[in-house]
Amino acid sequence: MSTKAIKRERAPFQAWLQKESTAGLVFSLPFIVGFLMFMAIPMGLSLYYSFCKYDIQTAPQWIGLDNYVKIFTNDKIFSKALGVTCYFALVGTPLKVIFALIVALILNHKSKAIGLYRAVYYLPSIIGGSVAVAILWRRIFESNGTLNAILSTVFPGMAGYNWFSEGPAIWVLIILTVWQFGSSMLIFLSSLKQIPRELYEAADVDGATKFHQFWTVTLPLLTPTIFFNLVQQTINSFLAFTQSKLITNGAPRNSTLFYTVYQYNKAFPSAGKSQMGYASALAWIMLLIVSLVTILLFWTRKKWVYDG
Amino acid sequence: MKKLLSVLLAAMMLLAVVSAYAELKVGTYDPASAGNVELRFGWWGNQKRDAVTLEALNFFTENYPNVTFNPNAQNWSNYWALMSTYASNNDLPDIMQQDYAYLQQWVEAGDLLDLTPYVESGALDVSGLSDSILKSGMVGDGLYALCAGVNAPSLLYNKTLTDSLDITVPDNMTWDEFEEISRKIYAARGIGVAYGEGNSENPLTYYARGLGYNALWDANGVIPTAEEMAGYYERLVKCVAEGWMFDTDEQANVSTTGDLNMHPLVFGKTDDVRTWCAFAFSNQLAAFQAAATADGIELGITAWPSANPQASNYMKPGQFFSVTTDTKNPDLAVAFLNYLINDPQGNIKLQAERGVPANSAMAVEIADELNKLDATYGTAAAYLAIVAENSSPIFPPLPAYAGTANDEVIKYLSDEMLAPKPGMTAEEAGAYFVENVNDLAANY
Repeated sequence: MSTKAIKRERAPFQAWLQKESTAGLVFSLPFIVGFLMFMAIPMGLSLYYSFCKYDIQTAPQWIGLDNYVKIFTNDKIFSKALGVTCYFALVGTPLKVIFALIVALILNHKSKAIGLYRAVYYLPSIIGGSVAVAILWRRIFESNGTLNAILSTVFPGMAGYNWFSEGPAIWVLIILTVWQFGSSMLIFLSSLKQIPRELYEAADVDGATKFHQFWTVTLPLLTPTIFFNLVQQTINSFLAFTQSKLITNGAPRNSTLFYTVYQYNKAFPSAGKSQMGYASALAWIMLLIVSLVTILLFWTRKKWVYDG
Repeated sequence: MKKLLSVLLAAMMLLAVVSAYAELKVGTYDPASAGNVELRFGWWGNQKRDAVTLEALNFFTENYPNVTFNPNAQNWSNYWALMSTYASNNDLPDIMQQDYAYLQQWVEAGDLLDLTPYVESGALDVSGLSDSILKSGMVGDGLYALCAGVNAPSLLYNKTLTDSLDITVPDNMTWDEFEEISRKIYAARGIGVAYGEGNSENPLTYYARGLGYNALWDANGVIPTAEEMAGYYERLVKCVAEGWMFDTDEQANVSTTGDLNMHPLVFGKTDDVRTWCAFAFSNQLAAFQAAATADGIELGITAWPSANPQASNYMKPGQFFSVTTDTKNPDLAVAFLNYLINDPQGNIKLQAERGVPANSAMAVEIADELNKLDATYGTAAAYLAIVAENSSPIFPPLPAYAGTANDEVIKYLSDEMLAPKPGMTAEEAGAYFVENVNDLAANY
């Protein structure tokens, strides 16, 4: 057996196998396959379905722009759900980011229990979308629930207040999303650590109060992080689903019906035919809206974000 | 001549069966003569139903060891997709559970066996079934399915509460009587009623039948006029304004999941989040009572109120059994079907889980045994006996668009009309209902 011969006449396939780019390709293959199978192809299909009447069971029927026309001209629930979702996203997200910042500032101290605190405050982000929390939330906010029991000791008028009625109901969901501030808080914490101490020392020497320091040092240096959290949480809020589906199911009178829940109900109705084509059109409209909002946020970026 | 022959044959077989196997009611065909056969049986259900059905199958095999079963138990959502696949391969189980709403399309597809010849030959005994129940399994002139159990719309009410207030809830009350009782209870305790919410056509169908129509809608659209439908919504607006009927806000405060254990009839800490009754079906009594017992509440059962209860109320065939055209042993399958419908021992095994057995004489015969298993069985059976005398034939299977109309029209209107400040007038709601449902019917 001659090793020399093998070395000289390596088969082209073997040569190809040993190239570095091949290894790269093989290692990224799981992602590429996954991306094609679970992102690119489904998205393409959904775009196609959005121009079809499609009930899953029978072949899709091309109907052109009919779905879109119906959505914009003859669908009261669409505008309602969109309004509810925008309110939820535009009111809930800033509150959540501000709350995350406040907690991060509080936790930004040296303490032995800091790891525990972070874990505890991060917990709601993990469990917040679960069925168990949905039931817990109902227990807290129901008219004879925990919250009213506490509030009525101070404000007797609050006894029996119906948090799930039209108006306050959306706030039950906003408070839940604010409570899930953990991931934003962690990001704030890590960037707080990166603010140079010299700046605070210099501010101290100049006689700045703590509030002044926060306003002129901490906040400007945090703006890139605030921006990042704002963008990420806004997108999340537009795509929120479980709170609305599990806690209120859109009641009362669709005043807590999130866009995604409406879309889900169209695609997988409790009775009757699926309207997958219509739901796909709704999804593409949402994609456009989220893109627009994100572009808008990026456009405001240079007006308030400090990039060093 | 042919008929005479078949009658003769039937008579001979009957003799053979009576002498050899008197214990199981299988009709005139002797399953022991079928040789070693496996019967396939498909149904949808739940854990309880799967368990009791298997017991009934095993009992059959104990008596006829040559017949074994290949059961196929699914949940509702998988069942139909799976059966459709079998049907396209001409490989359906010998016996399949059927649903009232879907029966027609399965018959039209040619998948179900016409049982009429077996009834005529005596192989299938339907003498215990009332006419209206038997008719519910017919499509055209053919009999394609037999009812496994009977339900009826039932107002389940907190009898402990009404007794304590000295209120008697009469059977077959009119809507006015119902309002009167509701107002009294609300005045005394502040306990209300949840009605007409959500996306169910049931209360509207009941209302339409009270007006003298057979159904709410058919393939062409709504049957009552817009003015008549306005009457339904007018009633909601009025009762919400009186305070005792839950508005959308109060509704949102009590339940979202539709979970029976969280229904305000059986769940809630204070009177303002409780109701004194629930608009349900008789086969739900057992589950509601199980949830109510914890609070020491005894439930009563009566008909839903209507302007004309006898016209509105109906016996609802819960589920059906059909023999499919793919069976290779139709005689044996029919004999087994006969056992499922008529045999007392088999039905004790089945525990009336599918509703009170359609064979009413047999249902009475096994009542004591079933009552030992669940005390509400007797209450439900007694109620159904009243309904049998005070009801009209059930409406035809629902039109295909019904599910979508529930979600898009009925839910929308009940939201608007039950709101503390209604979003439109009752007249507008009636017109909206007719216009949009008809539109759906035309374009489905």
